[in-house]
Amino acid sequence: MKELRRGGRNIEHNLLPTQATAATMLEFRYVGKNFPGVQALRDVSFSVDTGEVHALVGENGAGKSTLMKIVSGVYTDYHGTLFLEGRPLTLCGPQDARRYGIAIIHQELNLIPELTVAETLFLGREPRTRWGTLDSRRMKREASTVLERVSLPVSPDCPVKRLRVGEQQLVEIARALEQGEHPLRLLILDEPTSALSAAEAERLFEVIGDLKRQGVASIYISHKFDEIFRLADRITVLRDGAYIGTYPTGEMNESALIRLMVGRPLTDLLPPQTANPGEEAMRVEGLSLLTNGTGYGRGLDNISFSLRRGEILGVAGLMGAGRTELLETLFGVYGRGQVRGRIFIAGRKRHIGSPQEAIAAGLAFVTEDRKTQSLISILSVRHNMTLAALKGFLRAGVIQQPAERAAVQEQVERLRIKTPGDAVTVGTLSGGNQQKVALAKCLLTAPSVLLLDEPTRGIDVGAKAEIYRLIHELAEGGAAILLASSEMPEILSLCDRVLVLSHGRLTAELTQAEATQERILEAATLRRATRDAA
Amino acid sequence: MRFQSLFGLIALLLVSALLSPVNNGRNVFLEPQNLLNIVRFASENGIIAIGMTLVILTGGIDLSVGALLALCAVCAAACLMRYQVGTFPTVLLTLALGALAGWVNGTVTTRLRLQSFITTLAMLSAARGAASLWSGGYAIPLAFGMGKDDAPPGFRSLFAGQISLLGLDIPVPLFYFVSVGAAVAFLLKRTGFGRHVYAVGGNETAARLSGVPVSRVKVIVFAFSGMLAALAALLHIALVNQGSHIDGAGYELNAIAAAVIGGTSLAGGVGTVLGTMIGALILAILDNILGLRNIQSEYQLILKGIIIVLAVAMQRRQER
Repeated sequence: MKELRRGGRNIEHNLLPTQATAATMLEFRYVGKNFPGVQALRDVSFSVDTGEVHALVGENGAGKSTLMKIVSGVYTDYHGTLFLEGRPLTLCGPQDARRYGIAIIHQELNLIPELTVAETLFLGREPRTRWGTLDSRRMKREASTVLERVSLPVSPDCPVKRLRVGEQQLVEIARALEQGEHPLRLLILDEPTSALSAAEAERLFEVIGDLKRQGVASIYISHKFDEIFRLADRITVLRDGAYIGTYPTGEMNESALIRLMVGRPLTDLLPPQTANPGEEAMRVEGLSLLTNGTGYGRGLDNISFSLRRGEILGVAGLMGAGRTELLETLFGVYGRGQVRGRIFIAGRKRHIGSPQEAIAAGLAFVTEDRKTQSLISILSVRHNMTLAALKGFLRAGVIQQPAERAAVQEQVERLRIKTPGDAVTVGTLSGGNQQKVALAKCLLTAPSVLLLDEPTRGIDVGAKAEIYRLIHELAEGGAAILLASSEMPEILSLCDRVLVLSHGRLTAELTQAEATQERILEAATLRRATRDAA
Repeated sequence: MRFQSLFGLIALLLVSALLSPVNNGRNVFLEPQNLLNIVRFASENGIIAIGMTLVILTGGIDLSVGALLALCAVCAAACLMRYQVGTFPTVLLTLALGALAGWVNGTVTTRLRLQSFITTLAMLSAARGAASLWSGGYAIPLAFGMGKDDAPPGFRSLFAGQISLLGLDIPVPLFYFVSVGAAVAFLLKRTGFGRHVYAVGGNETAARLSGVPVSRVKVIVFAFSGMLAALAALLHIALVNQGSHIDGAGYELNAIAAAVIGGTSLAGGVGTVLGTMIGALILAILDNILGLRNIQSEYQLILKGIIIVLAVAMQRRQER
C-alpha cells in the first residue's frame, strides 16, 4: 500500500495549478547538429509548455528525429542549449534522459516479446525482497496500478508477445510512467498510431489527454493531419533541418501546413520528359495483399492500374502506405495464399508466385535496401551482376565465362560503374556504384517491366543524376517502369503519372500535369472510412 | 585465405619432419608408406568434409554425417553378407540411402523452416537408432572370399585396394578423395549450381529475389552431403572389414574442423573445396605425427582443439 500512496502523491505533484498552464517545460535555444558533410539541424528555437501537446511536423529528412534524439540523450554532441523547467539540461545518454523524466516512444517498439507485462514495466529496476530475490508480488501490484493509469485491462502476467500492437504501445507508455522516483515530465511520441487500429488509437489519445491534465508535456510527431489538428495545442514545422515556425493549432489549416512543410522550390534535376507511351506492358486488377488478420501489418487493398511501355509510373505515399509491398507483391515475394487479384503482362494473364516466376514473366526488381535484399556483398561484381540472368550464360549447366565477362563489361561501361575490375567484391564499391550493379543485374534479365524501389536512396547527387538519366534512357528504349519513392522531387520530375497510396489503398492517380506536392500529400494522408469502423 | 591454409600445411609438414622419430637413420614421418597412410586417413574425413563444405557454403550445417556413415556402413555390410546382393547393387543402394537421408534433411529444413542444426541433429539421433536396429546391435563382420556366405573380394579391392603407380602403392581411397574434390570444385566454380550455392549462403534474401531456387539448392547440398557420407561408409567398412552402428562417431566434428581450417566461413558464402581438402590433410598429419611421437590420445584431442581455434583466428585476422 505504501507504493500506491507514493504513486498518488506524484500525480498530485504534477497537478499543482501553477505548473499546469503557464510554465515552460522544455526550451530549445539555437539547437543545431552536424553530421559529416551535412547540417542536419540548425538554429532550432522553440519551447514546449507544461501540460501541452506539441506537434512536430516536417517531411522525411526535415530533422525531426535528429531533434528528438538530442532530447532523449542519444546525441550528446550538438550546438545550442536545452532548458528543462528553466534550468540548462545536459544529457550524457538515454539513461540520463529517463532520470530527468523524459521518455520517448518510438515508432518501432522496443519490447522483449517473451517477457510478461510486469517484467517489461520493471525491466532493469526490478524490486527486490530483502533476500535479494525478485519481489514479484510487489512488481505485479505496482504493475496493475500503472496499467490502470493507461486504462489497459490486461494481466501483469500476460507475455508481451500475446498483446496486440496497440496494447504493446500502451505498455511502452506505462513503462515511461512507471519511473518510480523520476516522475514523467516530457513524453515524446514518434508516429505512435502508424500501426494502430482506430479503436486503439482512440485509447492512446485518451491516455495522452490524461497525461496532459496531469501536467505532462508531450511532443507528438506525426504525418497524420487529422490527429495533429485534434490533439495538438501548437504545431512546430521543420524543413530541411531549419526551424520554420510554431503556430497555435487554431490558427492553422491543413493546406497552409502542407505549404509550410514543403516550402522549397523543386530542384529540377531533369527536364520533364516527353512521354511517348506505347502499348500496355502490365495491367493489375484488384490486387490485394492479405495480412495475418491481426489488423497489424501493411496489406494492400484492391489496387488496379495499368502501365504502358516507355512510361514511368510513380508510386507515392507516406511511410507504411504500401509502396514497397506493392512492388514486392507484383514480384511474387509473398505466397500465393496471401495475394488476390490478377496481373497481366503484355496482355497475357500471368501467375507470379515467386521471384523466379516473376523474372520469367519479364519483371525485374531493384529493391529498396541494396545491402540486405539486392546484393550479396561478399561476392564479386561479376557474380552479383549475372546472378539473375545466369541461365543465359549456361551451356549444359556450365558457365560460358567469356560470354559472361563480355556481358558484365558491357554493363560496366554502359552504366559507368567505377570498379577496379569484375572480380572485386561488390561490398567494397561506393553506394552509387553498388546501386548501379544492382540495376545492371536487373537489366541483364532483359525485363519488360522494371520495378524500382527507392532507386536513389543513400547515394550522392552525382550518382543520383546518372541513375535518373539511365531511367530515362530505359523508358525511351521501351521499358515500362514502376518507380516507388519517398522523395517528392523524384516523383514529380521523373514520372509521367503518379499513383498515390494511403494505408494500402490507391487514393489518387495523377497525370504529370495534375501532380503537385500538395495534391500528392493530400491523397497520401487520406484516412479511409472503412478502417475506422473496424 | 586458401594460401593461408596451404601455408599452414607446409609449415606443419616441416615441423612434423623435424619432430619425427628416426629409425635406422630414416625419418619415419617422411617414409613414403607413412605419407600414404596419412592421405588414406585424410581421404575418409576429407570426402565427408567436402559434402559438409557444400552445406556450410549455403549457410547450413550437417551434424548427421557421422550417424549416416554408420547407417550406410550397416546397410552395405548387410547387403554384402546377409542379403548377398553383390558388389554393384550394394554400392548403388548404399549411396542411394545416404542421398535419401540427406534429401530428408534438406526437405525438412526448408519445408518446416527449421534450422539445419536442429534437423540434422534429429537425423543424427534417428540414423544411429536405425543403424542399431538394423544391425541388431552388433557389428556385421565382412568375410571376403569366394564361399557361398562370403562377401565378394571385388568390393574390398574397389574400396580398400591399392594401385601401383610409379613404384608406389597408392591406396584407392585417395583416388576417390581427389576425384570427388575435383568434381565438386568444378561444380562450385564453373556451373550455375555452384553460383547458386555461394549466393544462397552469401545472402539468402538477395538470392531469392534474384530468382535463385533457394530451397532446391539447399535440398541438393544436403542430399550430396548424405551421399558423400555413404561413400565414406563404403571406404570405411572395406578398410576395417565390418560395418557397425557405432562407426563414424564424432566424424561430423572432424568434417566441420577440416572445412573451417580450410577457410570456410560458418556464416556461409565463403570457402573452397581445395581449402577443405587441405584442412583434412592438416588434421590427418596432426594425428599421425602425434601418434608417431607416442603422445597420449587425450593430449592429442586437446592439441587439436587449440589448433582449430588458432587456424581460424589467423584467417579472421587476415580478413580484416
